[in-house]
Amino acid sequence: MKAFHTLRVRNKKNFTLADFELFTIILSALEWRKHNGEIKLMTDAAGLNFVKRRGISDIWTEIDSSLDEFANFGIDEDVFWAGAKLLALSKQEPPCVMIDLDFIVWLPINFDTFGENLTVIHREGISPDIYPYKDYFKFKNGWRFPEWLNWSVEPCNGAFVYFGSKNFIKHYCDFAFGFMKNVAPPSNELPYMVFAEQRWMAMCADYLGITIKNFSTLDELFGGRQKYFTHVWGHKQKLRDDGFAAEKFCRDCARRLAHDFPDFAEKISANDWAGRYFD
Amino acid sequence: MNDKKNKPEMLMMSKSQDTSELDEFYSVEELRDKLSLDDFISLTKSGDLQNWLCENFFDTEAEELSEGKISKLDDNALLILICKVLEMDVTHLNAEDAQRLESAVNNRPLIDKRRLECDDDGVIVSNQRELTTALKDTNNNKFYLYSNRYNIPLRRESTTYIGRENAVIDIRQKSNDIMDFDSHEIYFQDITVVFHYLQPEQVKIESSANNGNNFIYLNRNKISLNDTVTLKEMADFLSGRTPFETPEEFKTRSENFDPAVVGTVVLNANNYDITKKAFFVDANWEVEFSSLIRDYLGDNPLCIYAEGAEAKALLDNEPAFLVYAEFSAVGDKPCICKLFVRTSSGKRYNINEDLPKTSFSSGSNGAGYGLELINDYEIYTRELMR
Repeated sequence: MKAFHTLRVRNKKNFTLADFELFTIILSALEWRKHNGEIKLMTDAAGLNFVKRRGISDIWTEIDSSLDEFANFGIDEDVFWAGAKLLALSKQEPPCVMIDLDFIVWLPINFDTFGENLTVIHREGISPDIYPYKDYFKFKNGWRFPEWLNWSVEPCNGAFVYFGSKNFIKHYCDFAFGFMKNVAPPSNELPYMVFAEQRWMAMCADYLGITIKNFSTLDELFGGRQKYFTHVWGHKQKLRDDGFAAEKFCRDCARRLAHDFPDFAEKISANDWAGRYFD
Repeated sequence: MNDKKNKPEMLMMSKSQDTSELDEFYSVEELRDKLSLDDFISLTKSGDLQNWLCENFFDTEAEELSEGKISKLDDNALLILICKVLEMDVTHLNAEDAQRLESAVNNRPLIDKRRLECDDDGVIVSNQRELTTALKDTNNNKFYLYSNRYNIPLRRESTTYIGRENAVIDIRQKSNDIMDFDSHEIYFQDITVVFHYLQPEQVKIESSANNGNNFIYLNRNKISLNDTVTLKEMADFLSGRTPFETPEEFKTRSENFDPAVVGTVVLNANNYDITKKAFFVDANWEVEFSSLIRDYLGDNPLCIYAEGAEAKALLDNEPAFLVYAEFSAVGDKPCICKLFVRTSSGKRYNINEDLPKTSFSSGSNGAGYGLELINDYEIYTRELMR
């Protein structure tokens, strides 16, 4: 199964990723290749330069650095910080899998029966502070939500998504771009971003009559009852706040790399940033 | 100090209408030097102090402490009044009395505030003991229940319970009979009532339906989260590994067991620690799970993490939960590996787990999942062998 990562750097000065983020990206790409197939990095020129400088550009089977196009969409990327994921998706041929940089799949998945469905890692509850009702959103240029949107359908988490339908990808991306272009500057950005990426994903499938399946549930994932998926997700904040925890995390990842991918581990350990974590 | 320590015994004697024990005192200063604050309260309640004041020509002071003026005062209010009337020098109090007075003073604004919040026709109570005492007086039919958990007698008719500051009434009734609060004229207002075993259709409470109440039906009768486990299956599971399964198989069975209802927990504003952003709570545990719960929790307090606004919303909307346990196994016995509660909308709060820190809170609770898999080197081979 073809998968893709998205890394949008833009023109951010002093852009960097923490060591624990780099280790997660490496494991994400290499474990996918080991068990499930090709994985492409969708990035921009600065992103390409960054992964080369960190010595990790060969963890992907391909790198597409065309995401600078997103700057011409008229979308505020400070508000829609993950908007470029949708541009990356719009450039894919289904079936394909969109996978976040902090998401690792440890086992083979049999995608043979997935067909044209949309399959997401899990659904999300409609928490009103994260997913407010339509009245919350403000638009410019006379843009408005269409009447046919179903506001009762549960949003999809976008960390790990299988897309089986070309028609779905086109509708999903086109509408999301229109939404992102036409919002009035909001004070709280989070509901705008998660609407475009996650709530609209579910609404779009509902509208097109495409079945939404899920790989797992929040209960199962947070209950430690599965062996397939790691999502670092909110734990990143803990790793940012706690240097000791971050150090341990990196050492655990380095040990895992040395176990699963000894050749790559030897190679990456020659880099200054990574070498100190290997025994 | 020593004198004061020796005094209470003597004063207990004086309660038997014998005021002569105060005869050795001739001035208020002597009283203040020799008696503790609790002594003063006892002497005032018995009337001995007022008698002594009259006999020694302190008529104004005696009048200030007359029965008409102190009969409705609680101990704290009485103590403050005594200190004012007798002009106690608070800087000369011993540590115990100073603490006693400070506590009384600190509690006064709260009591005064509560009096202002409530009508005169009801009794204000702050805990179960006060409620039970007040209920014994058949003249009391209206009770203001403050910020605590209460049990109420269902046979006491024509009674109104009004909640203040997130008070909660627990109703534990296991029979299949209909509980008819309406015909017994038991009314509720602005209060959370938690029905531990009943379903809404088993309760007649229409008269209180629109009084700002929050009725929570915990459905404690069910055995497990998805209600897929029978009592027998649960008993079998708790008895441990069977002779026909390996420890690994038993562990797998344990980990796949539907999370069980192991108790209930009710949130309370008094138990929220804003610095730790957590409710520190007591749970009512099901007896069958007591040893597993003791093993799991040890001496740790039970806490549920929630940020300030989220915590307030939980308290206001859904302060009572079933507590579920997920299991694993140690040797031949099951053990608890996680405790959690779930809101009616399905949001899960793991008990005693780290506080959410991320701003991106949709579903993540500030944590990740599957992090342990980074160190699970056997996943691949083990899963392929299945």
